[in-house]
Amino acid sequence: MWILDSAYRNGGIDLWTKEGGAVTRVHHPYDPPFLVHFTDPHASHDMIDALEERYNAEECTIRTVFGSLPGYRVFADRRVAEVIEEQAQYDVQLFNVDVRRDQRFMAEHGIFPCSGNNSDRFYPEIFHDLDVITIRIHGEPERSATLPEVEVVHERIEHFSGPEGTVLSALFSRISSLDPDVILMPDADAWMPRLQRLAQDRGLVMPFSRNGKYRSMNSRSYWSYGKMEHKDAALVPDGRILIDTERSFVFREGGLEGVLMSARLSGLSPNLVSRFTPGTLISSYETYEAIRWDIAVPFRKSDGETIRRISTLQAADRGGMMFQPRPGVFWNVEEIDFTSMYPSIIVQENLSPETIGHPEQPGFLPAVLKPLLDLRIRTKQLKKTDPAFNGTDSILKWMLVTCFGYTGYKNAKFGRIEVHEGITRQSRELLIKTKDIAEEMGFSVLHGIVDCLWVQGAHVSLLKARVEQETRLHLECEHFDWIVFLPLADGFGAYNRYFGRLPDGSVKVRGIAARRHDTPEFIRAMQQEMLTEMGRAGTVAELDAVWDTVRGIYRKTIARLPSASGQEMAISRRISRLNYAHRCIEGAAVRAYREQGASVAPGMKIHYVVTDAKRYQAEPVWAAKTFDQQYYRGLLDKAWEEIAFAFRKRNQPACQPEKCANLSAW
Amino acid sequence: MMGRTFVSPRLGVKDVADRWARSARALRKEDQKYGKELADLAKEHSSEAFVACNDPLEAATFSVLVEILKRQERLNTERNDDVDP
Repeated sequence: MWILDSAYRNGGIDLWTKEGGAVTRVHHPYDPPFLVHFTDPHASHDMIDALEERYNAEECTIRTVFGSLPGYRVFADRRVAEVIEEQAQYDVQLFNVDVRRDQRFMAEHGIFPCSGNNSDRFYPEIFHDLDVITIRIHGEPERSATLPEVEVVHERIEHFSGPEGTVLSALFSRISSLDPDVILMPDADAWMPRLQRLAQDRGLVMPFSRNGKYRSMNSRSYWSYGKMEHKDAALVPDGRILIDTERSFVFREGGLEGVLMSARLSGLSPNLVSRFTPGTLISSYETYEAIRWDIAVPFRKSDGETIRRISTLQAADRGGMMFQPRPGVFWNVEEIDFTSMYPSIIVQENLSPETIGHPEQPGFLPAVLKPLLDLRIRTKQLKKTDPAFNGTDSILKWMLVTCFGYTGYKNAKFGRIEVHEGITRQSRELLIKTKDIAEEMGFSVLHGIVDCLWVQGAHVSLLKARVEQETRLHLECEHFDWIVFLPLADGFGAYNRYFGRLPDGSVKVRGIAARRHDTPEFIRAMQQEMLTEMGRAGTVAELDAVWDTVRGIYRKTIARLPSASGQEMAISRRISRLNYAHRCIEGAAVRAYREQGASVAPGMKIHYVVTDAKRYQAEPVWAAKTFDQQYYRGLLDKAWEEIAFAFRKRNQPACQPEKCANLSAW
Repeated sequence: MMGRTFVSPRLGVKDVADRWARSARALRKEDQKYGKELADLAKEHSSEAFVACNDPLEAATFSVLVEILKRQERLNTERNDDVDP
């Protein structure tokens, strides 16, 4: 039974499964209760009587991560739970109120999506025989007035164009005849409501759903990791997986394999998880695990933080360890980093909300993260020889990265700030310990951030073995023939801006223009071309030899700048607001978007071209006819300086900060 | 919000160093370079200092003193090297 979709319908769960090439829907009646614990049952006896009478409430024991509580099972939905809360003046604890019913059904029955019979949920591979097609609608979903050309990719590529009605019915009948299990569609969530409207106008039935039913997810803007994100409303079909390949984080990072693995781990439909952030994925995974372990999932968090002195807080809240790098070029450098350091610490140190102050008690968080961590260690190994594991590995990496941040999130079901602090405290100790070992073994430590150290010295395998033995954590090593640590404006080394050559000739880059998401293609391409040239240089002499070529690329790019297209100058940025207090280019771009009739919301990505930086003028990329050459020359020079720094003070272990301070002066 | 953050180590010390650099301008001309250098030395080990220092000023002082001790040792070594055995 290979589950490809699930939905709560008519008092039960619809499971869509694929077996022997055929997809079938099976309905399972299911209306699970929520749980309530009254702090003072005597004071609430009237309410308890009423619940027993109206909702068949029955006494039970509630198992939580903190221990067992007496309580009641109430056969009703969230609305009733909220009324209880209010009437009891929040002097109650509620559980299993907001767990998705289909997820809960699967967790209770020990089944999960995207897997064959009796298979291991934590197996790194996903076997499936899903029929996959791609639908591309050409045009901008925010502003196309009509339905332009449509492309359907299956065994061959088909194009549909012409009058809107013709295109629509051709597309719909093709979907019906192909009857795919998965539709990959860029901007699906933006197009679907429009397609639905068009279909209604013309009396056509949309064929995306296999039973005509759709679930709708609301649009929202939210903060995540200091960034404003936007999620479009979505129309999710039943029985068929529809992935918005443009907006799905999970698909972008992990491809179809990543989506299917996320669904399998969290016990939710691929349709849903493809629209989730990694944070929602990890919390869904924890919820599935809790239900599977018969642990009640709290509705509201009640294990608040204890009151502490500000000095105690300041001492505890420090984040990861950083060593300050010296800017410069360094030869034969080894990067050693801990595989999934934070989750490994959670597991190794038994850090969980309920083990704070009770370290002897087995913790929930370590227990549920352990299999995920073991799986990641496997996929990280497997992807070295088989790129098919890249997607799964990437998703696991994201889930594990987020599980740490999630421990500090105020609404996390199984989080607590003290756990968060415990993890970073341990990580700082680990990095210092690793540095001590490296120095004791004769390595010189160049730089370090959180879970990663850059060292120079012989026999890194011995260092790796010793650190692994002493810390009991996994390490990965990467050799750089050379690496460049760039300076900040004040001349001191930047933590996160470096690039270096790997033994296969590729150049790993962090924090420079080629890697930044908002760099215009014109500039990114220049820097990439330079890095490719530099990748050919494995020795000092070879790096010297590419200098002329690299400078040639810079000059060629300057010469081409005036004739470049506006498209190449597009700056892509996720906007965090719609109203800007000060004049700025981003604000101008948002205004220009609106003037062009395009809808914008915080968290959305906009693509604009700067037409006059001094006057704060920008145009959406499709409308831009010119660009501000001086402004883009500035960006180009900045990108060039990052590269040119590598040729500046070579053959020296470091350069003095004051001399590095002004890159462009060189 | 995810977690909670105090001013980052580097920013905290940077503020101290910026204040020191501004104060250096008020020093006599021949003393100004020392004031500015102090501001630079403050940043030299700011990240490392924050492992245990709670206060940016404490971290800046720690960083400066480490560098001063290093110089002093270097000076002593050079002086000893100058002496004929």
